[in-house]
Order: sequence, then structure tokens, then C-alpha cells
Amino acid sequence: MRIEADPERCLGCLACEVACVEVHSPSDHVPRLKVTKGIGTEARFRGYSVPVVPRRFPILCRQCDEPACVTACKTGALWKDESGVVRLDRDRCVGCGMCQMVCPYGGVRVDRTAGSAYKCDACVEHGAPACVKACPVHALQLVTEG
Amino acid sequence: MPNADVCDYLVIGCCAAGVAGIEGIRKRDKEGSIVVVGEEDVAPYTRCLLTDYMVGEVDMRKLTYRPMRFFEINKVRPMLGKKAVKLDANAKQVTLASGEVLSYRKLLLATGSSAVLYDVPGKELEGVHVLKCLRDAEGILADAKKTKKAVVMGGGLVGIMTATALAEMGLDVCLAVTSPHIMSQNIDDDAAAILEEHLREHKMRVLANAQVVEMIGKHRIEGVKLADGTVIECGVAVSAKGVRPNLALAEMAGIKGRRGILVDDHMLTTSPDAYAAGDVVECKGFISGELEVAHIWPVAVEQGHIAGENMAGGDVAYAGVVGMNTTTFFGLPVVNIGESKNSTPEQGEQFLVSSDTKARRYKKVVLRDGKVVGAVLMGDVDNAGVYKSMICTRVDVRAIREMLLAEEFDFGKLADALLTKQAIPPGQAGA
Repeated sequence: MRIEADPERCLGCLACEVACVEVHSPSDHVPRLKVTKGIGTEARFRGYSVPVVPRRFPILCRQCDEPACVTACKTGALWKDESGVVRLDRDRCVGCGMCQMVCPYGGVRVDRTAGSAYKCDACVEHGAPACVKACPVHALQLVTEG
Repeated sequence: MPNADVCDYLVIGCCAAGVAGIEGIRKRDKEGSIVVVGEEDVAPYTRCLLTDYMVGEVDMRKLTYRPMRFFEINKVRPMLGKKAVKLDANAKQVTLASGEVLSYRKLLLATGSSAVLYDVPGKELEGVHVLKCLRDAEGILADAKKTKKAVVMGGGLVGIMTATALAEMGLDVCLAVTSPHIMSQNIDDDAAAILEEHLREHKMRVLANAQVVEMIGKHRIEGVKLADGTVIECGVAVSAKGVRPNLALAEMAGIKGRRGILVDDHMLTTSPDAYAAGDVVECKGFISGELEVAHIWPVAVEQGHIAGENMAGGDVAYAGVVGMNTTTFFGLPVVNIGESKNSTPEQGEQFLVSSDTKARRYKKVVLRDGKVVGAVLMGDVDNAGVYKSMICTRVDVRAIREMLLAEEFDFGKLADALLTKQAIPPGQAGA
């Protein structure tokens, strides 16, 4: 189970980020996903240079099949559950940042003062994922097969 | 002699690589018998968190990253508190100090490494420690409570982490480093200068080019003497001069190695059916292609896992060692990945650097032939993994070079660059 993001659809409205913080409050004060901009360089059209609006990329955990974060975790706080979601046990996490260093997507955020990591758990304890529900353009989809 | 007691898999060593080896084996073989021999009679724990344990930030429960029931769940027979003293690779037998003889079909040598004690007069004095295992941490802790002053010798990660921990416990700490700057094996001199200033701001004394020549005291340590004659008083001293692979078993069996046990990309040693992983091995570096030893957690785990899978009939190749570390010193996170220690670029290399000493921010990307081969990040390390992935995928980033240092550089920028062919994975035609 994972949430897939489609940068071609994303408008960058940040409704997902708000929904994420809301559903995980008060334990989280930062969203577990982040909408970021692409490069947005210039393009050529009939010999003229035209600015391109940067694509938006919602960045969040991909629940990898072979998660590098789980392998690298020094405290056993991360594991992949039966539904394929990479789970984090906050109680075991020390915020060392090892997971962050090996995640190719920047899908884990670490609060070093609080000594804990933050990552998407596909809202397994909240029913349907809040960000998917909140997205007005279906740029975020819950994928359950495989 | 046919022996009913032959185990399918024998794992020597029960830390990062050994435990990962067990998990690797169980990924492919759910039933084969596994025996693990560990010198310490405790559940597997994380050595890299021992300094956090000393400060009290991490308790025994968090330190133990796999509980005792890990063995039960994975149907492993743990033989903890036992030391393997003899290996006969031809007879496929390991003898323990207790006299027990274990026969195996496949062997994993995950014997790890030992801390090197500063080899100077007085090193046997009471109050002189190394930090490698739980017992060492307890020893330092006990001595630290009796004194107000500590000296840590060695400016590597273990040295700084130990010094930081002792400082947080309220001791006056002096960090004596032989090299011209701290973390000389990890980061360049400019990054080190920022970190040194940060440490000094937190009341730590950092002495570079400080060669310790003697540890002074009658029975207990009273101070250390430097090459220039200076004596630094202390009631506890920690030697953090790095580690040495535990090669005794392998050497006894004629398994080849120089600085570590030589393994191929399947983690197989020169002896058939004997694999090795973790701190004890020497294998190909991902960037240099030359033989390297790495003494870091994620590498040990990855190698152990691959060795385990291959022992159980898998065919998994290891891409090679990518050195990396992430640590937080008094709230300042520091990450180094790949070829990050040089202060001046080598032939064909280009350094991209942005630095702000006051804000304690530093970002450096090392490019070689248009590809990222190393990075140092300080302060903002949120996207450390994106830099690591650029190293591991060998993507050509020449066209987005300017962007790599930007504060907002993240996976979105890289993904867009890949989509618009401004970043080019190997094997694809250049734009």
C-alpha cells in the first residue's frame, strides 16, 4: 500500500500538507509530505523564450519494496508491515537521521531536537489517507495492489 | 564422520552484519538451521548509540535494536557470551573457547573490529578507556562520575561523539587530535573549522596537531602529555584512534586478507562456503573501485544482508562501499557521503561550496566528470539522501550544477531535471 503522486496533476495548493498535519496532530507539527517545485526553466516557442511554470512534486515516502531506511535504521524503529507500509515506532526512534541519509526521495523528515523522524504511514491508523481525501485534483492516489 | 549436529548456517558475530546476515538467510530459507555465536551475552545492540546511552538519552531498551525473541522468531540458536577461537575451513568446523565444536555448511564471519588503544607509555593506567562495547561505556561512565576533567584522544566520529557526551555530562573536555583538523577522514578543513568553532562554543577544548606522547599517573590517569611538552590534566581519558578488523579466525584458516578479509561482490571469501561482512572485510569501493575497509553501520548491515541471501542460494551482488555518516553535535547535524574528506580538488574534480560559518551552515558537493562523488552537509541535511542517490545512480548533473547548492534543492528539482533531460543517467545520450 502506498500513496502515489502525479506531478502532472498537482497544482501546489498544499491542501495535502494541511490535511496531513491536521490528522496527525497534536503529535506532529510538520506535514509528513511536502509539495515542492521543479526547476521551471525557460522553453523555446517559435524562436521565443517563454517561462515555464515549474511542475509541483509532492514528496512523500514511497513505501519502497526494499526500503533503504529500514535497513539503515539503528534502533529497529522502522519496519515494513504486512500491508507494505513502512512504519515508524516513535517510541524507539532516536532521531539519528540515518533513514534520511539513505532515502533517495527525501521522504523522511527528522526533528533532531525532538529526537524523532516523521514519515508517511498512509494513515493506516486513520482509515483512508487524509492527503488523498483532501487533494482536489486527484494528484494523490492510494495504490493498494502488490 | 557424518554428524547430525552440522548446522546449515553458522554466523560468528552478533552485531550489525551478523544480525543482518540472519535476516538475509531467512529471506530465502525459512527452515535451515542457524546458529549464531556472539561474544557478549546480551541481545544485539547498537554500538553507534553508546554515547547517547552514556548521556542517558537512550536506555537499554532503545539500545537493543533486536530483542531476544528475534532469535526465537527467526528460529536461530543463539550462543551468546561465547567466543570462537578456532576455525578450520577445510573441515568446516569452528571451536569455541568453551571447547564446543560447531560444524557448518555455510559460514558467515561477522567478527567485526576492535578499538585501537593509543600506543604510548601509561596506556595501561586505570581510567584509560576505549569505546567499542557496552562494558566500555559503563567503564567510562563510572570513571566520569569521579572526576571533572576528561581528555579524548582522536578527532574522528567516535572521538567527537564521546567528547560531546562527556561535555553534556558536565565534564571539562579536551579533544586532542593528531591531525590538522577534526574529522579529517570525513570532511574537509573548512567544514571542520565550522564544526570546531561550534564545539568550542559549547565549552569544549579542541586541540589540533596535538600528538599525545604519554599518559601520566601512578595507578590512575592524572593527565596526558603532548609532543610539545604540554600536560593536560584529566581523571578519565578515552582513546579513539579508530578500529582494527578482528582477523584472527580468518588468518588461522588461511582466508586471505590484508587490512580486512578479502571478499568478492557476493561477500564470499577466498574459502568456499565462507562468507564475510561488516567491519572485518575489505571490499571494492563504489566510487574508487579500489579495495576499501569501512567501519560504518549501514555498510555492515547491507553487506551482512547480501552475504546472508547468497549463503541461502541467492545471487545478489554488492555494488560496493559508499562511506557515509550522519551525526548531530550539540544540535548541529553533520552528514558526509562518499569522497568528502579532501580539502583541495584532485585532477578532474570540481568543488561546489556554500558556507556560512555564523549560521553554522555548510554545503559542499564534489563533482568528478560531471557526476556527484561526494557531499558534506552541515546545518541543513534534510535532503542528504538525494545527494547520496545522485552518487549511487552516477547521474550526469553538469546542466544543473548551479542548483545543487541551493537551499531548496530537493528530490523535486532532481526529478524535474531528469524529466527534462537536464540530468542524465548513465547510458543515455547526452543532451
